[in-house]
Amino acid sequence: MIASTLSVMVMAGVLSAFLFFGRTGLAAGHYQEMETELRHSLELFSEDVRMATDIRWGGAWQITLTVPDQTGTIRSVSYTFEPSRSGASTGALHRILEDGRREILVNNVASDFAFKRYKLEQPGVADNTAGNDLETKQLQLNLRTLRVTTGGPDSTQAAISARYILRNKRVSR
Amino acid sequence: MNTRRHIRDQRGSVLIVAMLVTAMLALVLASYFNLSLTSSRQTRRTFDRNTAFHLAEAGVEEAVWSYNQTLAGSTDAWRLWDTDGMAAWRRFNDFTLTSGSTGSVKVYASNTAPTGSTRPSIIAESTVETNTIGAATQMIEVTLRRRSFFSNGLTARRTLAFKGTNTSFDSWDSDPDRNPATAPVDYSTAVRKDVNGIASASLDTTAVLVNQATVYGFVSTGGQSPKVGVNGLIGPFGTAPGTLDSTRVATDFVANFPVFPAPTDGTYVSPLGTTLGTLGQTTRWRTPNIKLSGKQTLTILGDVTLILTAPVGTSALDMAGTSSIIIPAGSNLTLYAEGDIKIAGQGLANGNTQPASFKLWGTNTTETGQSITLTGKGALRAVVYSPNGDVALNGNGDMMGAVVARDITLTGNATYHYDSALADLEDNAPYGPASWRLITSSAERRSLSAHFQGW
Repeated sequence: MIASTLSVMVMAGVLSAFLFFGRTGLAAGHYQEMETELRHSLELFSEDVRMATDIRWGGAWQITLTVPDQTGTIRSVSYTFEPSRSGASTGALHRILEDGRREILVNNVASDFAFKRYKLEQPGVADNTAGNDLETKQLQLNLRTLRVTTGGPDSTQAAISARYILRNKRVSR
Repeated sequence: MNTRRHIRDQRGSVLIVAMLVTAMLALVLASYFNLSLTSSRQTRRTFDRNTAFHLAEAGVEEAVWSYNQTLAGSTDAWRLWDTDGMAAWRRFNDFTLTSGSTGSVKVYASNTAPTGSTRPSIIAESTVETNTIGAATQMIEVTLRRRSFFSNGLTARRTLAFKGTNTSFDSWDSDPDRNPATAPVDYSTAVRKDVNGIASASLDTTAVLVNQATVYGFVSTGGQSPKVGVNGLIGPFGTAPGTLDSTRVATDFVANFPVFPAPTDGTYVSPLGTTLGTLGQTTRWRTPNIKLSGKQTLTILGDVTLILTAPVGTSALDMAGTSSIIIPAGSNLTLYAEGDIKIAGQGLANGNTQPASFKLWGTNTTETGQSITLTGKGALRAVVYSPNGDVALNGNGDMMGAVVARDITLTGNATYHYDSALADLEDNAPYGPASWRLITSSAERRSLSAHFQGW
């Protein structure tokens, strides 16, 4: 009887430890997956922005960049946040090329996603938010991605990118 | 006996269970460790790639500096570089990085003595090495071009003001194929454009005062919105009076306004006769000042550079009566002056289509100011650069070219037409990037890596 009780207690401890390890492992896996997605996305985004000669602002959820390729041919690249059709509060960040090819860069992105556009830094000016495409010289990406863990807390990862400069865009016309 | 034997049979089972549990725990911990290690390596790799990116940029800056030092007359600009007479290359490895990393960048400049409109390119390949994860590399290619001070039609350091009731601004391109051998295109309503701009680097509310003028193009200021009157406008052709098209206004304009000292060469001549220069020849002259009155004329022949040595605050060029400076088609004049300039009378009779045939460089290096008044009779074609000058454009006719000055004022009914071909006028301008590319495709990296072999 005593042995059975002790065994049950030990087994309960062992099982709960494994459950804990499992959940933590799942969360760690989620973080790893989100971090990999974000790293890849920011790398692509920074490359496109830095090489862009122009930008068309479609709002906080959509921008189109004009990017020359290695032959000098101009092509457009769009970044779009598309909310989930299922009505969930999340969506996905897409990178869409001129020929229609699209790549989902980040899944399960919260709807507070936003592109931000900025002018060149001006002395004495606190808010450098750009008001139109002409004066947009820097772009930033703010997003929060999340993974739902059944029976446990959700995993979230927030990313605020650097303000990448559009190096090939003319300063003025 | 049987019970004792049964117990003896089960001896060691706890050890097996404990070993199994321990093995599973070890497996889980190993997974965690592996996950953390992978994550840590990825983070380190990203950090190193960012560092490499900035090293490559630093390498490019070194080469751009050398190009611009060469333009400034330095003979030492490429001294520490290896060169084959045309290209130059150099490795920089004196970077201090943290966490046991080492960094270096190899820079290759394609042409250290470009001529004409040749655009040299710079390729930088940077490497950041960390013992545990190996090397991260980045490669950047930048093509340079000579900048132009005239990429806007009218550029003021302080205030750009339209004071006339019928003043206007638009543009055209006098050399659309960028081929000097083909005939230039003259301004007309058929070729005019609304895609170029005017600018002021001032942060004040008086940066650009459009008032009642018509600006078919773009406006850039240092921070404040331009002022537009009830009959004024900023926008494309067809824009209604009183409209400020906000998509055509930028409020983050910044620019350098370097001042160039007057050249010290040229054959001294005083007084000037009625002609200066020789057809088909390039000549350089210097004289204290020019004063024309009555019906006096000065005809420029050939490619003439004239340095007016009158000091700041005195008159360098003064025209009155019906006097005129005549530049026949095929001839051109480059004028340097730090004194005041007044072109009036019959004004400047420039027989050329392109405004670049008359260039006025204001060389006043002080904030005292330089007064430049250009009064047009008929079409006035001129390019003016005077960062410490206050330029007044008066007239009732067409004014063509580009102006860079401290203050610019347009009065009368002057209609200003910017020649966008001047955006390629390289005189006195430093090198800047024409294109910037991060090389990401492995095929292209392999191809460009040939420049970095063996050193």
